[in-house]
Amino acid sequence: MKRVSYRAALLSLLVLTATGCSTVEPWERGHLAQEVMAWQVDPLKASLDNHINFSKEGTSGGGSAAGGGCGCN
Amino acid sequence: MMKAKNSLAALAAAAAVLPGQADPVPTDTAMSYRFSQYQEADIPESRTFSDETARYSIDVHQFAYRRPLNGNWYLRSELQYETMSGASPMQTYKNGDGQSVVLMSGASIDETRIDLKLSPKRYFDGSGRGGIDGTLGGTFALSTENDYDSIAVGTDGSLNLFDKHTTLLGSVSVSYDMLAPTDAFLSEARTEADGRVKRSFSLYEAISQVINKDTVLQVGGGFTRWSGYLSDPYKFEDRRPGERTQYLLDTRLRHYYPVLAGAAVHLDYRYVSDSWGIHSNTLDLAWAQKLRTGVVGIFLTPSLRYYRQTQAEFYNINASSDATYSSSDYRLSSYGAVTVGLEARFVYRSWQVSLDWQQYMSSEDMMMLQVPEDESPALVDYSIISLGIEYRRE
Repeated sequence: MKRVSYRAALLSLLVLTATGCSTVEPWERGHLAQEVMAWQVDPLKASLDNHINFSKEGTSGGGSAAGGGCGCN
Repeated sequence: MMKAKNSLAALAAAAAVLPGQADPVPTDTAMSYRFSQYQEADIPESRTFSDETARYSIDVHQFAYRRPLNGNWYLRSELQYETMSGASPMQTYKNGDGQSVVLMSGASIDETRIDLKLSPKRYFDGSGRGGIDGTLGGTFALSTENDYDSIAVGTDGSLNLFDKHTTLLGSVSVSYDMLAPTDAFLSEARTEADGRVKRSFSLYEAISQVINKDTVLQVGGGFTRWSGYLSDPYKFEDRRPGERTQYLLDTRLRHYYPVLAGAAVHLDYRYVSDSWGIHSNTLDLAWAQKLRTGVVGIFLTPSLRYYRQTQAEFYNINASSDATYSSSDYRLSSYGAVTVGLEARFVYRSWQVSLDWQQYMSSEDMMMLQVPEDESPALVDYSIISLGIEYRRE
């Protein structure tokens, strides 16, 4: 049942996304190319933040597949 | 203890540097160093069984190096070295007065951890010629400490479609972890855990879409399965199922605002549900602001993160010796947490200096809804201060 609701939510988001999009020519992508728009502004900061959250919270992940473990208290 | 960690996430995600852009082969070579001081707040004296109130203090050194290789290949690497000292919670319980109490590990623990990641990536630029436009990469990660070793390998790829308006992203990884608890003779749990292994398989797929010239959205879903020894041998009465399956949905939004030299709002949301009964929601909000004063570029990014989770089915503040599965680990309890942060970066020609501060606060009351009746006295508050420097040349 839960899987069905996940799929429905994902499908809804995709439909909303697809219907709300406009064509953006390469020369119109200046704003998208700005550094402030990066998914991760500082990879080292993101790496450490993820590591600490994974060590201190009950759930983890997002953005990519999970990796190995650590003996973190 | 023995907590699963997403050690491939950063490098894999770093590959997609800018949303809504093509993936040309990067041409820059860069070296980075970042030092962070992580400090956990003391446990209140009124809540500890012994006099030990100090928790972990960790120094983290991160080194990164990236450069183009032959052809359309590019290599990213990261080395992380941590030294930690302090004590950690071993058990919680309610005393005769009904007050929650934490039993801390008596002696201070001193430990080091080394984490190495290598990630080569091949870039394909077949746009306009009917070929493949995207990337294909691999990652190797190794983490070692005196009582725990982990090896992980993964692969990730991206495919740009519809004149680069849409990007499909995918990654898969497996890991193999080996446990060797310190002073294994001290307890039955440590003896039992010695030599045991933990395996994981993880899959993540996402789609990134340019909405308009100022907005890009990414929606993804993931699946991770752990099996093997998943308990914490350093905690008392900690017995967890030998399998755990987790489903995840996440979305990331970036929207540009022409404020000063340029700004963007970053809005990330993640929902996680696992077979242990934990459900979590995470909301990240940040404002990335660019300023320019003369030849120095300045970036300021204040951020706010909210996290909440429900407890595992077998969590109990009074971990029981009778139950098949039992744990009083605060990370499996119901609680909420707020992180506030501020990052500042200064860019001058090939050099970049960054400063970062974060404060993490957690409590049962921050769940806001479904607040548990029992306290979780071992919940942690911590702060992180970081200083980084990078040199980059084309």
